[in-house]
Amino acid sequence: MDRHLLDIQNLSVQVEEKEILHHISLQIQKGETHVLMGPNGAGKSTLGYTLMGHPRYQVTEGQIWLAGERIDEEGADARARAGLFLSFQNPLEVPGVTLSSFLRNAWRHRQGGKLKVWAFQKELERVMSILQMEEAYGERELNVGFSGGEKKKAEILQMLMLKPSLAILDETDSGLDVDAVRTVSKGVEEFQKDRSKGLLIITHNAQILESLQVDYTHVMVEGRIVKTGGGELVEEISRTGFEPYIRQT
Amino acid sequence: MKEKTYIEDVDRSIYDIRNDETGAYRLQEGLSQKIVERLSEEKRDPLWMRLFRLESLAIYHQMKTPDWGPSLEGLDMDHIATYVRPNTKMTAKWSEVPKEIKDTFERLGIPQAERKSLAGVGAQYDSELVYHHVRQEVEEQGVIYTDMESALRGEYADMVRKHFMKLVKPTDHKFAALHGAVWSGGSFVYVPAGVSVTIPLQSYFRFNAPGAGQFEHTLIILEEEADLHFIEGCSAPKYNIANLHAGCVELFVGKNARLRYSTIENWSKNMYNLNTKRAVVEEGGRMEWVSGSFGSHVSYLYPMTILKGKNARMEYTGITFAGEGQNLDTGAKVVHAAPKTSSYMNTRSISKDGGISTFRSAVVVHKEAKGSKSAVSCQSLMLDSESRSDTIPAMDIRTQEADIGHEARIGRISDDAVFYLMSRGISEEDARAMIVSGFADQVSKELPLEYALEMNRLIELEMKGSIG
Amino acid sequence: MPDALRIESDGAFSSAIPPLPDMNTGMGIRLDEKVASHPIRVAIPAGDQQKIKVAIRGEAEKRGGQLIEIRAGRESELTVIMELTGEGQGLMGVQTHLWLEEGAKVRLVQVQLMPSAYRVLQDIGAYCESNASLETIQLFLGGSDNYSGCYADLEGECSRWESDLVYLAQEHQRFDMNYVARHRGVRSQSQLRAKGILREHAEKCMRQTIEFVKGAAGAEGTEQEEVLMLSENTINRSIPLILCGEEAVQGNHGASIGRPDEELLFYMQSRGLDMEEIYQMLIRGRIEEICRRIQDPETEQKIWSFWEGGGENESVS
Repeated sequence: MDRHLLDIQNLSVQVEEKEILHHISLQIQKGETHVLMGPNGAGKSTLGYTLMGHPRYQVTEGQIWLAGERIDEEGADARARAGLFLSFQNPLEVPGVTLSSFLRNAWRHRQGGKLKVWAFQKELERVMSILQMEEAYGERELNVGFSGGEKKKAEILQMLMLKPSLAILDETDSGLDVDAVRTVSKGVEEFQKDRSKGLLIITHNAQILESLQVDYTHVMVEGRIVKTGGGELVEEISRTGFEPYIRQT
Repeated sequence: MKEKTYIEDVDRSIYDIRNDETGAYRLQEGLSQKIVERLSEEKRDPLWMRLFRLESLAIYHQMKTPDWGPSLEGLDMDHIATYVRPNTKMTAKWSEVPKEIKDTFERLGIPQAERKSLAGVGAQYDSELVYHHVRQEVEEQGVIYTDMESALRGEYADMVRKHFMKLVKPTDHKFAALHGAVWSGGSFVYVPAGVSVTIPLQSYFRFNAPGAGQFEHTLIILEEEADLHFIEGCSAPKYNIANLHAGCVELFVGKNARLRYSTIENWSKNMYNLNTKRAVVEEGGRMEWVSGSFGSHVSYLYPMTILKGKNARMEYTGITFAGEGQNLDTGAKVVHAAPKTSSYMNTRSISKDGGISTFRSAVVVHKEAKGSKSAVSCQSLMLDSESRSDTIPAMDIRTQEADIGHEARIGRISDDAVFYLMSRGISEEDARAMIVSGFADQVSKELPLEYALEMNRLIELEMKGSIG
Repeated sequence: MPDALRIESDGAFSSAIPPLPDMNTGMGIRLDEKVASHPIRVAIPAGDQQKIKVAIRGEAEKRGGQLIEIRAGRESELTVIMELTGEGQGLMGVQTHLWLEEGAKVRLVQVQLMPSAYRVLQDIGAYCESNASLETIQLFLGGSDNYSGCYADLEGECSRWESDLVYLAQEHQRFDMNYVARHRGVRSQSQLRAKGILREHAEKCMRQTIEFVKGAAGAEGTEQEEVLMLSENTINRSIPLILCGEEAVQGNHGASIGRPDEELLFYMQSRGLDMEEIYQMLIRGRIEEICRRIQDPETEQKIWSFWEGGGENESVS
């Protein structure tokens, strides 16, 4: 039997005693890019946080498997080490800790505890040049005083450095100017090149998706996946909006 | 040179009308075992209370006068009469209250307020309650609202005995001991489980006798899920000799109950206000303090809340206005003794004409109080450089699982704000008054409408004046 | 026991310089004649620029005190870096008196890298004339019982004091601190920033006071405190005072106390870091912040080797 890269089985989630997600099932295979769309408040970000293991989101039913390992009982750090990555809508500021020292620490874990300074440095330079980031960036305190665009870039930078097997991008395109969207798209394309990896993009608009290869599209309304289709569904939704799906429920 | 707004003192004429003490019974001044025994006899205390008074007196003599706050030098206990009984009996009929006393309360607007918006009223004149009345529908809900003396002998005698000065012990400080020895008057309130009193109860304390002390005791017990708003108003005419107020308020807030305790204190400026207030809150209960301090020569006032049960919470909203000759040391204290408790303090203080205001607070978070939250915010306004404003907060945090925030700001009315308002055609005097009321708004909006108006009137009076 | 401390300095200290007048200090103590019998003094001439390093080393089983007096002449610029190290257990008291003449700029850096069984007293008193500017930058990483104080008399017009303090308290360490800015000068300014991390059974008390004396019109003072409590058995006390006798001033205080923000922890965890590593990074972050202010690679290197060596000083030659 094929092992799914990500396997979400019948997942229900509640926040502060209120059920937000109801019986979600979703599978992602290596090399696939999935898009999760839906109106505001549908529960898209809740799914992202739940997959990453935020303590506020409580799994009441179902299971989450990553590359054949069950992860829904693990803490966020263990899930990250197992190969999961979530880009945050609003990355937090970490005063005093520079972007590069933060990355060095996180990288060491992905490399199984070893840090080859030279290899790290070279990779950092390579990835930063893809994202058109100045080297000096690395010495800035993580997310402190970053503009919206800079924060998003720093998230993509972390994704490309840590090389997760499955990355979840949560509304990475929201609030960005055209240039920043292009840079982020470039970063995502770079990630897609490795066919052993999977990608789940959570968004409510199709802007970032224009230049990307999308294999599956899921529509979420009121905590349920109401429709699944191919890449063409994105285009359809940008034409019709979510109205037809909302009425459906 | 820039001219300053001259800010006049409050027009206290309504409060300052004094009555003669004709026919009142007055205990000899000073404090001795004999006087306390006489008082106890006068009041027909049960035996335990008589013993309690004497024990408290002994503690009083042993304890030191506090030396960490405003000076109490002007207070000479040998010249304070501890008990002045008006020449009347307690009554539930307004018409039976002697005319002179009735006129005083009429001028203060007490009966009108009762008719309009109160569920019950108690009126204390010097050392004794002269009037006590509860609306029938409230009485029918099982709510008890009576004077302390009746409670001490009536149906609820055991309950009173069980709670009386258990929260504030006579050993707490010198004036708590004094209170234990010579207390008189005050109210007892009992709200049964599940009963919600939808309109407020009020006690009004009027101090008429010069050179005397008022030592009323307020005991409020809320059973599970009960809900009450209690209002306390205080005023007195000004005399040249010191008066002392050393009341005691003990509040027991049951599981999931809510108590709001509002005070508008406008004692005259010869008053030493050394009041002690304390509440204990059970699981899920909620204690809300609203406190306006305008009067008194010296105040030491820090209502304390013990959050004893899980999820208990307290809110304290306070304003202090210290004018000429006033040294008001006010604030609040909270002890988080259970998980997920929360406290929120928000205070404003204003100093002018040489007035001194000190904000003093303590937030104590025990190790058990995991998941607790506390936020303290205090702002002070200085209206001139003759005055003083100090902020003395303390925090003692013994668990990491707490979220503690504190902020304080001190400053003056912004010239830019005054200029902005003046540029729209408002006079400087009005602009300043507007800014000060805006500053106090946080507190006044917590009060029932009539009291908010009363408070705004007090501030307006304090701020009124002419450009000099 | 004047030889209980070993002092090495590249500055022009001399006992021939006349003593400074008595001044208030944060701890309000006078070092006992017996432990501090040889005050050392330095006077920076007007307009001069100097950087002085003072290494103070406490020896095992000794009690030692040192009074250091510094007069900074008009418009002079001075950086003093004091490194406190030691071995074994003992007691070290260092009191620094500073007199800043008109327009003088002084940066006083104190790096406390004492062994974990040492009791340490660090006391500062400063007097600032018009336009004088004092910066104190302090990092406390070692010691068992630590007492620290700083009192700045902002006497002159437009004088200013900026204090940056970072401390790490772990195991059974105790910190007791008192920082006072007394504003007497018109438009004088103070900024008191303290960032601390408490671990294991550490206990700490911080008093900050900003006092505006009548007449200090236009003065501004800010107190900020941030305390991260990283374990269950720590005790934190904070007493931030603002005393105000002047109308035309601005005083601010802000404090945040507790464990790190849950969202922040989750964010860092989601990048694969476990709690202990996150804590280590937060601590490193604080130290890095203060290193950036110290601006001295040599001192910085000593700090890191002390930190990475688990609180051991490299042996002195």
